[in-house]
Amino acid sequence: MSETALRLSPLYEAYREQVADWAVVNGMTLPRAFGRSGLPPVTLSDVSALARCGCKGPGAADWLVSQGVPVPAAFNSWTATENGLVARLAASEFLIEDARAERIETLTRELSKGRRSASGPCYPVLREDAALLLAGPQANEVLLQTCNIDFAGLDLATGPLVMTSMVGVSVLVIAQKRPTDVAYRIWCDPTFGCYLWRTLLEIVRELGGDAAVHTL
Amino acid sequence: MKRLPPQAGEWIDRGKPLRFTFEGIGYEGYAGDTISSALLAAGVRVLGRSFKYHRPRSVLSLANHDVNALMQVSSCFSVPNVRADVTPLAEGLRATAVNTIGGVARDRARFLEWLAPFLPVGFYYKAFHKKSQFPFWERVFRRTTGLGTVDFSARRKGSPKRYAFCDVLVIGGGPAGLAAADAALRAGARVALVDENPRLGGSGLYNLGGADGERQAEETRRLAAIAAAGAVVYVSSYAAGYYADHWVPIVTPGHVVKMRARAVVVATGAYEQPAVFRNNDLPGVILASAAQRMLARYSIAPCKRAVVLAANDDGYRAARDLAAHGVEIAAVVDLRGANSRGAVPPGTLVLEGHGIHEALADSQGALRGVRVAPLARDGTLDGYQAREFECDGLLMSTGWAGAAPLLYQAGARMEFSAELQQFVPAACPPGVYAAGRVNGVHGFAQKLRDGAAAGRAAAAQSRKPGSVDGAAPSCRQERAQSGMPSHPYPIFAHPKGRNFVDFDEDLQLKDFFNAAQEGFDNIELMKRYSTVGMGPSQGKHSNMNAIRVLAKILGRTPGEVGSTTARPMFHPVPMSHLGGRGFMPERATPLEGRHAAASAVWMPAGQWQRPEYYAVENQTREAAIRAEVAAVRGAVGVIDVGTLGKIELFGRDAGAFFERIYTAKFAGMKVGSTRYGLMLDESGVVIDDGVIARLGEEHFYFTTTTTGSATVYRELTRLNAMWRMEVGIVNVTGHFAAINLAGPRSREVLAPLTALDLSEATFPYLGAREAQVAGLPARLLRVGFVGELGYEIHVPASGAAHLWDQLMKTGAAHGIRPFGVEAQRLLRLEKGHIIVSQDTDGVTNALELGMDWALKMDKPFFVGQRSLEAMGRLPRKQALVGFTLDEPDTGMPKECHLVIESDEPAGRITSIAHSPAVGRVIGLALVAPALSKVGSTLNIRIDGGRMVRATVSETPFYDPKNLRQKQPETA
Repeated sequence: MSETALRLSPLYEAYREQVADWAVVNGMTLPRAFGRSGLPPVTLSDVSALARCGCKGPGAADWLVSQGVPVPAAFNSWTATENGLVARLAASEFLIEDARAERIETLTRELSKGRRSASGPCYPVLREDAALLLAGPQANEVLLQTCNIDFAGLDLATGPLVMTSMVGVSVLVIAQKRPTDVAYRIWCDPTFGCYLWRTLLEIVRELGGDAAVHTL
Repeated sequence: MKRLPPQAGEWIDRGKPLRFTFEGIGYEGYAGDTISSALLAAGVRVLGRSFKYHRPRSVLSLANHDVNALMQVSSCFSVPNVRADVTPLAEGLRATAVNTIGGVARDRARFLEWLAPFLPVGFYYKAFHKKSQFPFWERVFRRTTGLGTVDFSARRKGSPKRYAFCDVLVIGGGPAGLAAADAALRAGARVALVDENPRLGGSGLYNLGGADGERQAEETRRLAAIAAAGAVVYVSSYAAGYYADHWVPIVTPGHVVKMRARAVVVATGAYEQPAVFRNNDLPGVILASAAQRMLARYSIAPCKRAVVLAANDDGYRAARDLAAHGVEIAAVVDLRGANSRGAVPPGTLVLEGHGIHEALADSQGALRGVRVAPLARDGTLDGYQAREFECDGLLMSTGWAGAAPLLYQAGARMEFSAELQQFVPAACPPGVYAAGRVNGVHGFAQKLRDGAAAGRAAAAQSRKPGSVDGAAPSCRQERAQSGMPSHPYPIFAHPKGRNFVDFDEDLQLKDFFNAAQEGFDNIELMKRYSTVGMGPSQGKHSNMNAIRVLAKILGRTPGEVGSTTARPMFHPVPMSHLGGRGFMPERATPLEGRHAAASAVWMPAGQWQRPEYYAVENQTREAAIRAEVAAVRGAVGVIDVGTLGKIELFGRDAGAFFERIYTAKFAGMKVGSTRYGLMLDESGVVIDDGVIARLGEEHFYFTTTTTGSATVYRELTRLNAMWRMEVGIVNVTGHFAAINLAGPRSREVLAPLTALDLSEATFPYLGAREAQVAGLPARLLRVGFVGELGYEIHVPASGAAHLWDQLMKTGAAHGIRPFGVEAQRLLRLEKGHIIVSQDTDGVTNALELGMDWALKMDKPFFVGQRSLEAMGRLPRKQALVGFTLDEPDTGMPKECHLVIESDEPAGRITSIAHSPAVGRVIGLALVAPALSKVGSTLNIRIDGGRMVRATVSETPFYDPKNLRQKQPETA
């Protein structure tokens, strides 16, 4: 593998010893495979390589609209975009994630210029989150063992975004409806990433699942 | 006792025999048996010994409360205090009774009963009254009483913690609970149902009353099937407590489920209560419901010939159940008067207005007969008219106590019903409903109606909170149809005693009278003095009788006496369940792997693990740290400072905001510069410090202490909300990595990695720049915490490892070396730089630090300024000073060692180390102002009480003019 890739995932140290084959995605070193085939009942994936940025401030919503970014109307909700998503973390704070790094780079560049809309300023927020994906029929069981939120009871049509504590770590969680199941996206401060990954993976494995590569 | 022929609904699987041992003797039972049922079926009558007198004991309830049949059970490791009455039998299981000396049959401690006259109530406390006797009695009590033995070789069991959610939680899978679940399911609610038994149905499947109970069992099975199909069902599980907002811990065999419900139906039933008479503890004296469970679940005849002591309809139902299975009924003894008898099998002798004067023991200590006497008008028994009946079983059915701890914990208002002779809920809090026996409703049909009403109300409440009154659903009619299920005083004195009120602790009736006589005549005081209800069953079979006894003593009603507090967990929970899987959040910088590869020795710093130093083969810790220090002073070192808090401030008012929160001035601060900041609370106490960099007119980036980032961010957010300034605050602590490159060669190491002009003239000391470093967008701060030319380089966290690698690569030719926290501590100590929370504490104010240069008291305002002004007018209480040790060979002080003056503490060491640069032991200390003058002598008391001397010195100890931090590029 190339350990001289410019970026390493915040979860890299958590799985480094178990991975033999590596790839570089969006300039970040990621596993090409975790070595287990088949379709386990629950999988945990590292999707930290997705490009993302954040913005904050009274003018953030208007500024995003001016950039052609769809803005969720409700706080604590999210909306899908063509290649990613936009999450509204508060009245004036947003997380934008996109598989296309260039889209995020453009937004970040503009933000760093100190943008101001009619409703006020808009500040950039560096987002180097650890980003995880929990999927499979047993995914909700992992959440039930780690988090005091009834995800099964959420109305997914409203795009709810949950800010809560998971195994003692502050996380953002959204549930994404997929053709055959519901997958959960989880973001946390990168310095808690390895702890969160190791703890979740222990439970995932108890349930017959394992780490898996998710194609971005 | 014998195993009955196979019958429908029995819990045992006769096709799966299981072999096990008890007290070393081999037995056989069936899958589905409990340890107790298998032993009873094998004819074993004595299952344990009592706690205090070591009397032979056996089954009482067969309902999870047989505390005199606790066992030490061994498989791969030994488990103490296993409840044999509910623990499933397993192949190869090895069980022994707890609390015996020499085994249950020949327990050598049984002689203790002879000493009973010398062991009055409160003996335990009286024995400990004199301190000098404490060790003696402690040894005696530990040897002669107690329960099982903890096996310390047992493996730690990491049982998972699990949350669960439902609309309606129904606690109790008996008739009322099943009816509640059915009604809630019909209303469309998500229902969870909990029952402590392995199968649903409760008394609906064993309290049958003979053949006419088949319709009742059929209805119970129908409801159980509906619940199993529609609800999430937890069997062999119990709700161990109730917490606010309908939080209920459910203890399952493997783990605890934290259930959050929108509404809760408590249908926990009732504990059948024993009568109190002489020898009411003999093996063979059991509760009637226990006998019915034996019959229906395990197909065991509890005896060959029985006497039934009844004071309600349930006693007669039990008699009919016994007769239906071929057990001979010697007599039904009814405590009530004439015309209260229920239906009995033809030819059964019924003695109304009689009671049990005493139970008689055989040579093994088990029941062989009873003496039955008529009741006098005052409720006592006339022993002279007693008749003897031979029997090997005595069934007691004289009353019930609602299983109401969860209702108490939920805040239900309980009242004593004289009609029912039971505490029942008068009002429940919103979303909590009671049903069935715990609600004072005892008839089968009535329980179904009561349960259904509770289930409907709970479902409605779960859909729309507040839609249903939180008071208990109307159940007066159902209660009225229950008759009087409990006798008001089924308690009988006997001149020879041994009439037990509490089987856990061997408390006799006389003990309560003696306790009251000694002044403990309040139910809470009596509980603690007599220890009633403080044993393993927590009073489930003794509290109600204790209340009745105290009421009798005081001439009050049980309602006036009241009940004791029922705290969670109200039933024992395995420690492994309570511990569960451990969640201990740990933070790691993105350089964790690089440190590990460099043989870092870790030390905790809040939630972080940081390299204390980097181990080198064949080198001591001290030598390794000295080498790291030497590298920084002589060449170049690199340290991961990513744990520092990192916060950004944006907005037109950002500068003005800093003016208010830090003690320094920021209004005139130039873009591209840094400044040291000291943060105080409103009382002037130092709470944090850091470096503030101005990156733009409206953009600041600053660091906080490692442990202070979250606190500082929260406080700034609070102040911003209060002051309403145009400021945006972003906590980027984890999102930026930070590396401090320090040492005279640091510029040469950094230069190849960046196009930035690093010359002293262009990028001077205390400057701040943004530039590309090793291909990464970076923020560089020229700071000098360790007192050398240095660059603190901040990059996005994902690039940290790359930057580290590049620095190590270009630094190799310059002798670069990573250094850890210990080396950094020494380097900054040589410079006299403080560490907030090490050199300060929770009361150290800024005036005491000798850092007046950092306090701009002429500013209009900063947090803590007013307090400093006030304190400035008063004499100071302490001062932070530097010192050098006079004679290092006399002993090395440690941090927190005291400075002594005139035999009184006059300060303490906050930092200390041997400085290679100074060639002496140097340190910082908070001392009394009188000792703070340079040249003063400090007398320090070290380990062992010895005194060493130090002299107050100027700081910094090293490079006082800060020349090394400003080295020109030619240096």
